[in-house]
Amino acid sequence: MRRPFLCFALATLGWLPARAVQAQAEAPAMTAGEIPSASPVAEQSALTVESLQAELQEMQARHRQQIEGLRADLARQEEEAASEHEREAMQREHLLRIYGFADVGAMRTIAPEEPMMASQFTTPLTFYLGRLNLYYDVRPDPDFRFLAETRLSLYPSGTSQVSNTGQITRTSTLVSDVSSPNPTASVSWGSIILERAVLDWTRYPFLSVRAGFFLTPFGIFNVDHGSPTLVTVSLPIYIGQGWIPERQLGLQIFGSHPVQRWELGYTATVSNGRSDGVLDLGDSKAFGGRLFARRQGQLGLLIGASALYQPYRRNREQFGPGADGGITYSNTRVVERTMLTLGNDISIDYRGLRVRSELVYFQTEYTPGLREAALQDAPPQGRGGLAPDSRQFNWSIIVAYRWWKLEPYLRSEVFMTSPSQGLITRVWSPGAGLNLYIRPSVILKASWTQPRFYADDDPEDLASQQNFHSFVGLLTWAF
Amino acid sequence: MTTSGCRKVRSGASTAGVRLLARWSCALAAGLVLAVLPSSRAPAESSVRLAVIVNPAVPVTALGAAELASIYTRATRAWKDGTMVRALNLPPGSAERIEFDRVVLDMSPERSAQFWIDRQIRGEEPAPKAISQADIVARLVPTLGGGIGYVPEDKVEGKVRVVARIRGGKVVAP
Repeated sequence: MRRPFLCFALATLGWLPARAVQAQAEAPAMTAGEIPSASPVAEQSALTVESLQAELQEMQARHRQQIEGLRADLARQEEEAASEHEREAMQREHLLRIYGFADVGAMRTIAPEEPMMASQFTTPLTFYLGRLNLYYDVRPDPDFRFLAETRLSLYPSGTSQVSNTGQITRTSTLVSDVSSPNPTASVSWGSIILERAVLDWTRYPFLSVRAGFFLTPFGIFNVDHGSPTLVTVSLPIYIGQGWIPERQLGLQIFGSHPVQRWELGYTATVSNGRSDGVLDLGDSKAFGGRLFARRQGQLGLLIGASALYQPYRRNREQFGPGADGGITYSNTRVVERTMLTLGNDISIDYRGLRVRSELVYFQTEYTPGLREAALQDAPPQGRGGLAPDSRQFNWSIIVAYRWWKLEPYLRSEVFMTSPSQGLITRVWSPGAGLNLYIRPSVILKASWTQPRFYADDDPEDLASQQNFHSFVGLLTWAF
Repeated sequence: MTTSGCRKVRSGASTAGVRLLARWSCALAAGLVLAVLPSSRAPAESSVRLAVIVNPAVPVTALGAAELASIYTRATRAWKDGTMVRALNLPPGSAERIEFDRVVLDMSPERSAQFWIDRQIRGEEPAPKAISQADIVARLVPTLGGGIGYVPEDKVEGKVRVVARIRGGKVVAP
């Protein structure tokens, strides 16, 4: 409301001096031409003109001052409005922020010779939609933060399964689009995958409490899960093999304390752990923790140690006919095992150099008499029988160097298992890639990996028939 | 040196796997050598002079580079009296922001952008709010409980407390 008034006032004050100057210019022309200089009337008139001129100059000065004052007032009000706008924007940010990342790519796998392995890979070049993850970030209160992350996917469309006859079939989610005005329209439905949904209470920096469905804080890569953050396009073997659950439902406490340029932090979790579904049906809570020291700056350094203890208990619940004609219910424990995952990791960022390395150990031990059936790729001694206790190692290293907008990298990963998985006791997976940073938030990635398989007692080198090459191109962006 | 070492490993290798491992090690070593080479010229000293200002109610009189870095990377989230830190930034790409990130956070603009993208994807706290103009930062800090910001020295007004200055590429006492 005040701004139009100010503009009007400025315009008026600007017009007044201009009009006065015009009058002043006209006045001397008349006196010089019509009134004799010696006349007392003329003298009187000259005095009047002089006083008028002085008054006019005074008015002009006063008006100039007023204009300057009004301009300053206007500038101040504009600045106040901008400040208020920013303040309101800050308050709105506390209501809800939506951001995320996405990636699309193309991949080509040169399939292994071994037919079972070959069946698991897509041989021709194919495009794919990787991630479309949306974050919903809200602060309902200064001490509370709610964060949910969802992944929009096309799944289960296109996924495969083996039928009872051994034939591989693909899932189709194609349905007729009954809401469409076009009666012949059809649509493939997809799904929403919940990546995490947590509420954090952060009153003290060294003690925050998180409740909900969270990413397991283990090592580097599970929490760094987004393609714009990862150097490579693939995650280490231990995540794919499920040595840790990628997400857990439970409680987490975490915090950190700054010491000069370092940040020392911890995380502790208790969760439902590994359960058949969402609830903890076997009373088998998982306990985990992580300690880290992180340095920020030109030399960025992160050193961490993680542990996760996961018992797993499966019960067989059964209803049946009772002797008295009623219904009986039995609940019998059929599987019991404990799993322990330990890991060390280091991340180095120095100028253009990025190094990521992780060493993870995983062991599974069954309670005698409560082993489960061995999987298809169990070692010969367990095949068709019961799963053995096992110990596994996974070590990975990535060395990348960023120069200008390019970041070439080399990676190497070693996986060892005892006893063997099928025939395999070791896997070595070298690889290389190139990342092009089109913008800090838009990256084009190209990668090659060649998992190579080894067996202890394999004179015919059958394990190498499972070797394959994988080429992936990926365009990823954060928003 | 690296090449001759690789040859020795190759000649002793008997299996394909070991040969590949040796090649890989050579490539890795070459990559590491490349990585530790000096990568760029030292940045020229900037003429930008900044004042780090806080709300007068904030219980600090001076802040060093490490403390500022801790605040502006969100490692420090509260002042000593328990008030939450509310840090204000200037827009990425502005001369003041580039100088502040370089001197205080020891980060180039690209590194800083990547740092905050990584944090966002991990689900950590986002970057301090970027305000479009230094004048507005100077106006907001005194009205914002726990507020801290940085502005060119000539923009400092009387309602704030200066806790550090950035001059000649260094953080100096106020």
